[in-house]
Amino acid sequence: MGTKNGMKRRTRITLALAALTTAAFGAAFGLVAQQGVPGQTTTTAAATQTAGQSSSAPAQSSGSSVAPSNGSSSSQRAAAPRVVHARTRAT
Amino acid sequence: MPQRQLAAMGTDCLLILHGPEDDPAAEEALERAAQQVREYEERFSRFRPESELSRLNESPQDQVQVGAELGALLARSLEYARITGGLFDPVVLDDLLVLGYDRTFEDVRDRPHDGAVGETPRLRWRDVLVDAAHQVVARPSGARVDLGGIAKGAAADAAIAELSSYSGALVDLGGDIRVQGRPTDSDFWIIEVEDGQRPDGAVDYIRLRNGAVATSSLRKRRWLHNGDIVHHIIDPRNGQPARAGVLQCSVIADTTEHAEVAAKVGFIRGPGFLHERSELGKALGVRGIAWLTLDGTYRRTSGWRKHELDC
Repeated sequence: MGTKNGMKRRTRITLALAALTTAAFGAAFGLVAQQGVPGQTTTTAAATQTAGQSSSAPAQSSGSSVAPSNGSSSSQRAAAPRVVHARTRAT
Repeated sequence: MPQRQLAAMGTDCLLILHGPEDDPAAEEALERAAQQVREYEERFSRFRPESELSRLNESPQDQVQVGAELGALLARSLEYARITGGLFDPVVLDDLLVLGYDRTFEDVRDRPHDGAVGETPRLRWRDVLVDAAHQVVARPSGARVDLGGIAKGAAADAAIAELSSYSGALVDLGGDIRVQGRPTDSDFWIIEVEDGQRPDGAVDYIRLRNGAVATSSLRKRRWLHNGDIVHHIIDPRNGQPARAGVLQCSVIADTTEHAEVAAKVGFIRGPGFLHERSELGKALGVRGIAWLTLDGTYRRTSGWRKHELDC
């Protein structure tokens, strides 16, 4: 009997630890997922950072002279933002 | 936001202030900034026969007295020529003239140029000396100077200085853009980058607070010369229109003048030559560079990507 009760206690402890781990992982994953939503980080970064210091900038290996283009054509880029103040262009 | 539009330097110009509407002081500041732009055009345009630059170019003398501002602008141009190894050269005007760009661009575009190329004089920046202290320019008669892009950049920088007491201002001289502070409707000035393949479209959007951006492109100033399509950005190494496979090069820098110089160098040499971390990039206050190449590929440096807007 004593052994049976000990096993039940260990099982309950194990289940409780598993539940806690799952909850903690879920919370952490949810936080990361939320930070990855476009717009939320942009707004925060824009409000607190100076130009050229965006936290949302893609990581870039040091020393490379040109960012990988990934073969992106111009037609694949640039969704229009809400506000545009000026346009740099051919003159 | 109070703003002013004007036609100057052969293009459309826009000045914006962060401030209340109908503020007389803001209107006066905008007028002072606009006047700076007009004065730069009057004094430094090669298309105005009465301009100070035209008088220098047409003078038969080997040594010419010039005004303090033209002397300083020329001295800076020669320094840019030196640090770029001659890739930026304000003395390539004769190469442009030989190709037919001897009138305003509207005339050049509408009337194809057919004529013998002949031997170009090949005078370069090393043939010009500027004694800024005594405001004297010494050069062989016939060494003509074109300050086109750099004068526009300098005008944008001079105009923004007139607006420096405001918490936000933008000066846009036909795509040469200088900003300070922030606008009223956003945390950053949002700048659209023209897509040279689709002039009504955008290839990118960047955000700026204090700084400048300029674009060198062959999209607009192209014309027919002896049946060939040529453009206005001359590679000083051979006196011919640059052919590095670039459609446009945009540069973010600390000043518009620097952005102009760097964009021209980036256009002439193509992707990979110039970087914000290189010696030259640092000397020109470069923060980021983007190229759109003739095959439609869009490349940009890590510094440029830091300024890109997350849409």
